Amino acid sequence: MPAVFVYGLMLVLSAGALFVSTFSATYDLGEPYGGDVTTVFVPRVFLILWIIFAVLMVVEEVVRGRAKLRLNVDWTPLGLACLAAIVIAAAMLQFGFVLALVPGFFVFTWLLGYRRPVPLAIVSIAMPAVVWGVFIHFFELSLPQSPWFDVF
Amino acid sequence: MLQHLPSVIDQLATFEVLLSILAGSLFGGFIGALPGMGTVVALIVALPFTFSMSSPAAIALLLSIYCSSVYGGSISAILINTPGTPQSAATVLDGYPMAKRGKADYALGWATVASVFGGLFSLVLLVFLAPQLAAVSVHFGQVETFALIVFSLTCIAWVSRGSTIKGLMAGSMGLFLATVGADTMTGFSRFHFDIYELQGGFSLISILVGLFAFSEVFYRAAIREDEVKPIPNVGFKVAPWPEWKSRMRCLLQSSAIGSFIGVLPGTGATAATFIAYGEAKRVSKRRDKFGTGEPEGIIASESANNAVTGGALVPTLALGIPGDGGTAVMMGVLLIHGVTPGVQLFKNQPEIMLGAFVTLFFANVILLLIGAVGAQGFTRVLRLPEPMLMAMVLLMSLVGAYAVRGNPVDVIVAVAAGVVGVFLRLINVPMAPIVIGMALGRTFEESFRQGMILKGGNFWAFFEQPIADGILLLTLVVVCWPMIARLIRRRGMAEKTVG
Repeated sequence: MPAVFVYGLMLVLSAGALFVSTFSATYDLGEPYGGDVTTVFVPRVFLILWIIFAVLMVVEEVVRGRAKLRLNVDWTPLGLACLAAIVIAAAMLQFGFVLALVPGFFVFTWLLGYRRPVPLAIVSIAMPAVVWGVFIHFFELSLPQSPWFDVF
Repeated sequence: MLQHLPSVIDQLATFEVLLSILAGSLFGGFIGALPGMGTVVALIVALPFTFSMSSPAAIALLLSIYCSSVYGGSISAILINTPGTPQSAATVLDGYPMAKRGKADYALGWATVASVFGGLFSLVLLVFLAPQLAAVSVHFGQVETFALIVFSLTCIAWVSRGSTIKGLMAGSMGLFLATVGADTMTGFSRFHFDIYELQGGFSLISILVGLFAFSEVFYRAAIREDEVKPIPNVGFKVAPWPEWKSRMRCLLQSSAIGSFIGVLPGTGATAATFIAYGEAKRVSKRRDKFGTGEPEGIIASESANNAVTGGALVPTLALGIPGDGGTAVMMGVLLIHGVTPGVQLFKNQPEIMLGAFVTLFFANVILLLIGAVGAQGFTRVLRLPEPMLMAMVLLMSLVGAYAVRGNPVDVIVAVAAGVVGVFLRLINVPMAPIVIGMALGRTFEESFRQGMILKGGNFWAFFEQPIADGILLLTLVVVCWPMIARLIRRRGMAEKTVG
């Protein structure tokens, strides 16, 4: 199925699910005062607009004859990059900035096609270390700390 | 406002601020020179550094990056026929042919001086227009604010790359994202789905980082270019004064076009540069040479695109309405520093406004120095391996997403926004309307609901306000303009056929 249909359907379903959720008992707060509207009135308007424009987007692509085109995308690197970013982010929050980003930087750059291990290893250690040093000691901002080491 | 000038200069004449201007100008130029990175990525990568800076230094850093990244795009446009930023797309048309003729150093000279002139021209406009606009907006009530945001979002969607419908859809998504968290009227928390950390809503910064930076990294992984373009070593030369004198009209005209188009929300910097280029070609005595390396082509594009930067700051600072992704990032940082753009800023903190104007002046002047001295360095940047650059963007984006509130959920939200963003980009849905919708969503809802309370629940009473009516009419014209323009063209063609 062409990508625009799939994405359009996902967008419509997402907005639809959120729209349905606005009718749950959670948002039943009684009548608003004065001329005010309910707390979910404006979000509902935004969600309706979202749904309408998502449907129009699909229609527009069909009318312009673009719906049948497949995207010229390399899905494997895209999937790997997304997965790597998710893992690196989770590792950063769990194991600390330095411990996660040193191997993370190496792996991510390798996944994107850089194949010179020695310079990459040097940069993978240097970049996170420098950023860590600048942010913690110079700017005095906090970054995720390792649970095992006091230094980083 | 000018009575604050001595104290403002005193505030800015610190090592921190001067270093910020210099560092921002260099950094922006480097990032702008890298094709595909763009102004917004440059701002986001620098964003975490601003959290611990003083407000003047943070503003100085971001404004310098904003100006210089637009200029930086001309370097790759001239040297490798690939614009570094979309705003430099028209520079390719004459910049690259000039470089092929062995005059890349003169091309860089034309681009640099034109950029500086355009930036300074729009600064003059900003200095005079922003306070006037802010003064007018004092008369804006809730209904007028509501109408203005409708107009802004429509403009932004209209000039979006992709299509207007995709831009409007993106804007709707952004508006909805702003409603997650506490309802400002009742305090009731919406759409948190029992996730405690979402009760405060999404952080604009983490969404920005995700949609622009993470999605760019993922996009580059998905769409790879195998062609490696050779990068020549070049210097920097400015053409003699008689060459400039004969092209002054083009310089002034293009700077004016960029400045005025920049004032409109949605800026459309790319559109401004092509309009300026088209107009320059139309009125030039050398129009036959356009496209073959004619300096007027470079002047038109570069003065217009840098003039947009000053113009775009007018609605951002005067009304609190960001015109594009870059000004949305700047607004986000201003809010973090406790500075709320809008009429109150002019009234209560005029020294901040004046400081921004002075910073812009120095940032534009420094551009000349950086172009002259840094041209060689910028070309070396183009040789950096892209995978490493993308990993650096990923690293800085993780830092930026975390450092804004120290909240781990912001990192998760940023990565999730990046994944969603890349899939939207693959079907040409623009990112800027999402971010701008989110930046304006709260104000939009508040103005609507407060307006409804004022009008006793009667929405039609909104149309009894003449200023609001004028703005909504303008919105209608903007929406219908493509159809009107098409009808006029068809009528003209029909009349020609009959004739």
